Amino acid sequence: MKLWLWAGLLVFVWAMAFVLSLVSGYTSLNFGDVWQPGSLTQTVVGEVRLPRAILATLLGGGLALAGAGIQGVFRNPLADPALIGISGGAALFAAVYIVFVSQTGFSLLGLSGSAFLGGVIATLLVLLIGGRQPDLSTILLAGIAINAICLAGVGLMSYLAPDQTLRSVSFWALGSFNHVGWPEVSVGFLVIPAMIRLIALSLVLDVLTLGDREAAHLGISVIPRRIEVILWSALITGISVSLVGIIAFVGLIVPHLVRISFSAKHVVVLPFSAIIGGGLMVAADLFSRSLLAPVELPVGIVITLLGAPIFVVLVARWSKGLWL
Amino acid sequence: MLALDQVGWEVNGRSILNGLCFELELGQHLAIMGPNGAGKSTLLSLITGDVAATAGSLQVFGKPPSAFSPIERAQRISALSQASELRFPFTVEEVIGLGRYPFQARVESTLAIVAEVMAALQLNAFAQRSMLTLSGGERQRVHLARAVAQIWSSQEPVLLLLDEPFAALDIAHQVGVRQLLAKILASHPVSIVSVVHDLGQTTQGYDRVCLLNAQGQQLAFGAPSTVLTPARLSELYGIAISEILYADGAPAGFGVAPVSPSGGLNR
Repeated sequence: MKLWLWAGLLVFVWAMAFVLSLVSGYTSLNFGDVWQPGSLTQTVVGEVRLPRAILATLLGGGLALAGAGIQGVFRNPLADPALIGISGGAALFAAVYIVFVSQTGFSLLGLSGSAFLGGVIATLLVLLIGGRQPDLSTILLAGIAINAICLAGVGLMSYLAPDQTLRSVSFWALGSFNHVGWPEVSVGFLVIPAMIRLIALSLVLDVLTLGDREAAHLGISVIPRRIEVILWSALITGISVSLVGIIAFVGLIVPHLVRISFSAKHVVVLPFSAIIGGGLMVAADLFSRSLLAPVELPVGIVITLLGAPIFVVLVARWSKGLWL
Repeated sequence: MLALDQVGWEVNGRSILNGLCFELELGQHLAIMGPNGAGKSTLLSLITGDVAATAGSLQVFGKPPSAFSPIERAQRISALSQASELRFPFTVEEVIGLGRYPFQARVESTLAIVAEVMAALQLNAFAQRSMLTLSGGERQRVHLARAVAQIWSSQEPVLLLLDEPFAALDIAHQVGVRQLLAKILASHPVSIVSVVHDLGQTTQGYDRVCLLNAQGQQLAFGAPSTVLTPARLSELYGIAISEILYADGAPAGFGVAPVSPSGGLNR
């Protein structure tokens, strides 16, 4: 089957999940009223379910694509923004922003910007610890250390916070779309330019996976390009963490699935990861609010329960020298 | 096309290479030889421009490597490194295609060149195989094919640098690669610089040999028959090396006496 047919099919699956997430939920609705202004149906769908589904699409797609970008930069298919500490850094800086800056005027954009900065610093730390071509165990150990520091920092912030301004530690650690409305969606749209730019860098990412020296011999300015990919990936991760907390494993398992099923070329991996990641996140969000309704599970729990076992299998295979 | 004048390179006050003086003409194949740690790979890095010489002048196509833009340099100089560990399941065809990256050409022309190079290296059967499923020698051939694709069908003079191209290859593939390199030299405006270890075959296929000693000094440069003498090689490597001749008296390479269990060499 041709790739574009697959792409069409995957978009269709995403659309099904999207529509399903609009029509299902704890509140039973009469969909005859959906176009009637002020009706319960229009309020629930328009103000609650629709922004959630849109943001889940944007951030699921963005995180999966950012994961593929980070894997290309680290030349390592098992790197993930959350596992290596990028998300942790973003969460810490978001929490710091809430506690120390937001009293002088809170803005979602400022929050996302701060999280982006934290993500960049964490990535540079991993590079600093691991050197130019760090091996997997080094990256993951650096990630453990950075995550530990960052989550402790987030915990500390929650004690310094004067009131309820800071969301709970568990929000940052597990991620949730519970509170999402249109303001979050409008900030979430900022991941799109970053995604487009990363897709434009597909061929550069292909060459970078050969190694720094090889990439330089093929005419690539390695350091500026690596930094550029890190910045765009950290921007997506930072926006995502600031809006919905840390959601791990999307960036790991989705690109992996694409490489196994379709191709390792980034011109395929990046867009396919975006489509599948968007669909996966919408489905996971729907599942997380349906399973124990009316209680909502943090979506990160659902994704982690799905992704962590796959990661364990991948690491076990890696220890035998297999990269797939 | 390649000219070195008193070239040296030192790092942290330690001299790795010094006093290199030689010129290579278009169409020639140069073998760089010497003991481990003589700086052979470093010399390739100086030529690619990965590092800059700390003494003397090194010119490729009439200018120092740093005077090229990255993309212009990639269009003129192709290099095969010793080991490139790829951890992503790219297909053989895709990896060889990356060799055409500097030219940003249409997909069809890239695929046509990739097909020609794969045919020349007997890699057609591997075209759709994942790199992760190949053996070390097969991977080596794919990366060699990528380096060759980078200079394939070039109209301008180009330079192909190969760091131990035969290291992981069996004898049949070594011969295949030698034939390919000879064919490229005959059909393309190219010079080749190879780092080689195997003394057994260095008398064939090379126009020039540059012999480095363990201190990174140029011991000799010239035609293989004048540079490679048993006396010079024995002194350089510190073991007895003798020339091997075919029955008709033609040179067949060099060999060492069998190693004895007690550690010394039997003569």
